[in-house]
Amino acid sequence: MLPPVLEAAFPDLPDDDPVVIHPPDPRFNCVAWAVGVTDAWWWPGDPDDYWPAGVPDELTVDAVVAALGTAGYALCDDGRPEPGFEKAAVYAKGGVPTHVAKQLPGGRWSSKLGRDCVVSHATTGGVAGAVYGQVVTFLKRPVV
Amino acid sequence: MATLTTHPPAVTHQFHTLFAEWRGATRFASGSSAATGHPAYRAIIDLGPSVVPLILTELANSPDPWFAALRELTGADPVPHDERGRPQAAADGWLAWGRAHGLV
Repeated sequence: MLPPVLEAAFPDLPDDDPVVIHPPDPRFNCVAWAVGVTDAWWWPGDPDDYWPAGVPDELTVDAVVAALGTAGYALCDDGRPEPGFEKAAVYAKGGVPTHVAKQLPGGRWSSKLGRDCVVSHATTGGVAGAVYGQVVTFLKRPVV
Repeated sequence: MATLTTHPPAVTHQFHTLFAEWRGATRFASGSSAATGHPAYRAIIDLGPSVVPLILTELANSPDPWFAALRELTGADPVPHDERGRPQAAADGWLAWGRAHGLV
């Protein structure tokens, strides 16, 4: 059963077949999760967060795309599953990046929700809305 | 250092009230700045250095982004630059600092 606090924050999540796949954990965030790291907090513009060297340290979608690029991601057209690739979806509100979700094998998505849990959801719409806004771009990288 | 080791009951109560507000309001924030910029976080800092032991206790429980508050309240900065962005390592650095100062 989905924790009530998640249902309240993400009202579309209960109907998106959610499954909590990792408990609340402040040691990593959504970008780290998308990259495949679970001991770091990737986010621009804060001295306490990690941000890859050479990537603009600014809170823009372009900077998030560039950071994901250091982990092998490149822009792609959509979030449809492609054999041999995993995808990421960048969310933004008013043009400001808010969240990154990672596609799981089989096409479901997964979101590390801030310091809270990792939840899998059927579509990118599961965590869209007031908290994270909408998906503004997709990326993909080869599955190693 | 006495100001760091004394936290009157009223301050303790205020801290826990603000902490609960902050944790709930920022739990889904993807960046630390959104968490450390929250008014409740600022209000915790405004309680003064006596809350440092309370923060360190919370940090021992969970490596939440207390690092900016601790720097501001203590003037110390015990986290090596190459450990920035790794919350557990940063928490460990602050807890070692707290033990060295008799605060945890």
